Amino acid sequence: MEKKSNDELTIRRYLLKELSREELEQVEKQLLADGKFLRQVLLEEEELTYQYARGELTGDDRRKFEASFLATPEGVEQVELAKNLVRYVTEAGRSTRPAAAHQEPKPSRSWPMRLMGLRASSATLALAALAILFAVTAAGVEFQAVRLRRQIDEITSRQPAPNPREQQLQEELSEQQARNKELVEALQREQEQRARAELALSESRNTRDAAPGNSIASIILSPGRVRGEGQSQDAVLGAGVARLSIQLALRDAAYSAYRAVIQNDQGEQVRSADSLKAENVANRRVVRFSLPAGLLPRGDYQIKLQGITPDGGYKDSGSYYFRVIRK
Amino acid sequence: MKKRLALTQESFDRLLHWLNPVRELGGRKYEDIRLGLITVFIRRGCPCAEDLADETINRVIGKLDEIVDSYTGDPAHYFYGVAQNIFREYLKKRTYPMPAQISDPVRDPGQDYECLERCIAKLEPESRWLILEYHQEDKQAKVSRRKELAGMLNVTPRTLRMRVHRIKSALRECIVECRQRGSLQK
Repeated sequence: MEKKSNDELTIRRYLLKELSREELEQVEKQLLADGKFLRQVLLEEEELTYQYARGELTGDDRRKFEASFLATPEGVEQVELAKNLVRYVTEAGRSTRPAAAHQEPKPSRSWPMRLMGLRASSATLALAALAILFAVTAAGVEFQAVRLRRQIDEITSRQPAPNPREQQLQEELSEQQARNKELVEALQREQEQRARAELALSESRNTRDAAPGNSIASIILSPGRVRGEGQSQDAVLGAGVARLSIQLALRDAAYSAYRAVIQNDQGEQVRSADSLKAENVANRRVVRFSLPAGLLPRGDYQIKLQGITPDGGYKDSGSYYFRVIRK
Repeated sequence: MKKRLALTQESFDRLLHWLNPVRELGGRKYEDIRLGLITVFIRRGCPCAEDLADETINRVIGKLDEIVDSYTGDPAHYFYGVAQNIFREYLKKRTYPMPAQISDPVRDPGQDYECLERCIAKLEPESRWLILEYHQEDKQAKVSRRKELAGMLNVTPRTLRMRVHRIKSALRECIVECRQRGSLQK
């Protein structure tokens, strides 16, 4: 078994939720403060996932992994990818390295070839020409050859012999350059995603009378304290309805933004909508949002509206009820 | 609805400068902190980890004017303090299970495997070979094989892991896109 470093052992314990509170705080702070440590955690996380996917985790480790990793959608997705990849690799079997990428080790170069490899400069080209002359007239070039040998020895003595540490640093430099590129791309992607989200929002607001199979149903709701009070509206969703637009009349307009949480009659959350702004519609203060009709099977629903306070907290601001009828 | 970062160019520039006066280093630190926050929230079992991470960053940006001259120490620790508060608030608000992948339709496992096959086929031959060979063996044979691969590629084992990690990240993105294309076509 490969010997693990202290860091790797701590990371494994962190991922399997075996750390004390103090240890956990220390690791989490280090995750934010130390990029190298963060990447080590992500690598260990990946390795553990693949061990699980291959069935290499057993007993307590397996149970801890499932409790830790299968608790979030990201973890579930990671495990699914790992299982699919393990299946693919098993079915694909061994493969040979592509010929184009496989490079033969370069033969060591003689001093005339090293000479030709030197950076082009007028002096170097002259030396190269002299080296060719040497091959033709032995006596005259011998003096030049001795001088050239001295120059080459001087150059190679200035260049330190490659060592593993230097190699590692070179690799780390390449890594950093690749990360820089990823950083720029990540920032661009975020900006593009924001632009796409804004466009989608604008398009969904503008779409009213779309082609058959893509229409929008609407309901307007007022708050009620308990189910039965207030106005429980029916939302009739036919086969061609793609979205349900919901307008909630505000009991009070005390907040600049609201959050709406939609629950089915089992109390399970169907969707939440955040950062809803209060608007004036027909002399009433309302918030508006829409839902994909596909999320709403037939049944009763409750919407809990919460005002978002300046410090980011939530305050109850009313409950609304509606029933979905499918046609 | 997913929270968006309240990033204007100006606020982003100020944040990067606070993290490090050299913009490139500030940008790297920002990405590390954001990814670190997401990792912390995921490991704490939060289904909306990215939202909570962005909310943390939003709050820090909101406080930047107050702290930029007075705060001493690693800015990452300040982010951690804010993240702790955000997590406590999340626990208080959480009274029911959060929906998983609420914007996605129910996933078809067969579709995911097909997407994986297509995405692997799109990889560069060297990357495809590497991802296959990296996962061929198990247990002790796996360790030896990976050392062998690192030797063949003339890299350290750590660099090899990073390369494979990057290939898998690219595969993940490709699969998400493939899945979305498949959903739109249905």
